[in-house]
Amino acid sequence: MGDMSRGAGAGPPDDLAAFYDDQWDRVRGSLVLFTGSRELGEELAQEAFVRVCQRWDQVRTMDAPGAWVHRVGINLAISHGRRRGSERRARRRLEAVRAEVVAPPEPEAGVRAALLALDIDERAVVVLRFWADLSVKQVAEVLAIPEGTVKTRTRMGLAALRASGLVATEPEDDPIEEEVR
Amino acid sequence: MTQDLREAMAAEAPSGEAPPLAGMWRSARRRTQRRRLAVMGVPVASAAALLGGLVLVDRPGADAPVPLAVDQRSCDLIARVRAGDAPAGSLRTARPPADAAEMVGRSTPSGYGTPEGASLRPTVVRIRIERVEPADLSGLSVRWTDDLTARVVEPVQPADASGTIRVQTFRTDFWDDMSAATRMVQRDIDGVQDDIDAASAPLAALDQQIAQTPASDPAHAGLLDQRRREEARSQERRDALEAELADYQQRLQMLQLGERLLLGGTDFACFEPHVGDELIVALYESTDGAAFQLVGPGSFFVVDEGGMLSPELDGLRSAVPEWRTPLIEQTRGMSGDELMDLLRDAAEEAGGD
Repeated sequence: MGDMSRGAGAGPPDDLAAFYDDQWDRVRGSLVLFTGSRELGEELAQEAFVRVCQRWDQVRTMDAPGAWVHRVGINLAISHGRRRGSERRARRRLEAVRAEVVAPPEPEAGVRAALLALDIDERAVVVLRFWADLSVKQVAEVLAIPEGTVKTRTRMGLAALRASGLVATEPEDDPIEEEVR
Repeated sequence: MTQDLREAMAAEAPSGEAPPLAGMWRSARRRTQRRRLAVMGVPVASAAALLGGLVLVDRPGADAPVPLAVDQRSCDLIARVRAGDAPAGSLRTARPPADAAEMVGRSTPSGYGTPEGASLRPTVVRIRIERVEPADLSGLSVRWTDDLTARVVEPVQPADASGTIRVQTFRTDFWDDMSAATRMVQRDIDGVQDDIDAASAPLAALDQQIAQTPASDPAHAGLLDQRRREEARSQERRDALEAELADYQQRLQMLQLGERLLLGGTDFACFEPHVGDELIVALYESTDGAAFQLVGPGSFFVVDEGGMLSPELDGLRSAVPEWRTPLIEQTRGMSGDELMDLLRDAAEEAGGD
């Protein structure tokens, strides 16, 4: 790997630094919202960017490197949630925990609590669509699902958020349907 | 509008100062410089159900001809030179020595950055881990956690009487998961204990009433009868809880041991020293700039608080056939002092220096 094999004193290349500056907030925010935990979201975002550093030669040539780092981050979060799930299963006396992904929402975190209440698949789609601003096509690629599934999950996720009062209901001119389309 | 959602999300995930990219870059570099990463599972029956097996990872040096971990059944205890301090280095593990004579006298194992045929007397010492310093890399899922200074407290040979080494261990998210699992099991134990107390409470209350009621009291017989019924009623529940408690306690023991023995990920240590730990180690000088190598885990022994060689470590070590050497068998049940005597005798027989 070209860049990674440079001398010990070599720092990250300029184009990687620019990519990082451009994407950090977006990736971090996605993972904070997806996991419901600022600390975990930041940690996962850092890990995702470590992997970007490892593969920068390949990532820099991608059509949508931002989508790629999101995919890495979401996968890390899902893996993390699975591990936590295994631990939870060992806790035989504990009540079922709703959220697939880690930490319970902090009391003041209204949107995070609402997002955590979503099905994990819907949550991923909603965060990637409306926070990371990825297109339907990009979300489909990130999550390796058909575009139709992205639209369906978006619709269902938004409907749940609308029911929670997080998204305004405007039945006469349904913007959610517009978003989904 | 979904604008509501976007605004709410922005409020919940406010932008903040990004951590320095340089730290992530360095972390990525370390991973990339790894020459070989091999993973092996060690069947530890009791832990397997929860952990899926003990995982050890080999992280050999940059330029050394490297035997595979799966062949060597080895792993690194990370230790490095502190600038200006004597000895230390990349304390690397290899196959354990067969016996005490080999531990104190054999040549540096081949394939670990030393010239073929090199014959270097190891420094065999008892060390004590003395302090932990804050790590300089934090916040990453793989990060330095402990920076330990170990001081030689007793040498096998007088020439090795002094020295300080610095031991560093990597913590990984896997290790953190282990710690989290340990905490959860501990909470479960507390919870089951509470349940046992609750299930036993009616019996305890009746016992108290019976004790306070004279046998001549007409109520006494009724209380005894009531206790028998309560005991019969709650027996199954209490037995189940006791069994559950024993199960959790066994898991906890394995997790606590596992926490100290396995750190998965890209960098790792197979044993995490804590402040106050005493280890008896064989240090091999290497020729690649790092001062010493630690050959083990068959050749490092942990001395517990009672002065005995850690039975847990040896028990787990024995689960790996290649680690079950005559030396391990010989030292089972020994104290640290006895092992030091054994090694001294072996050094004297070998002629010492």
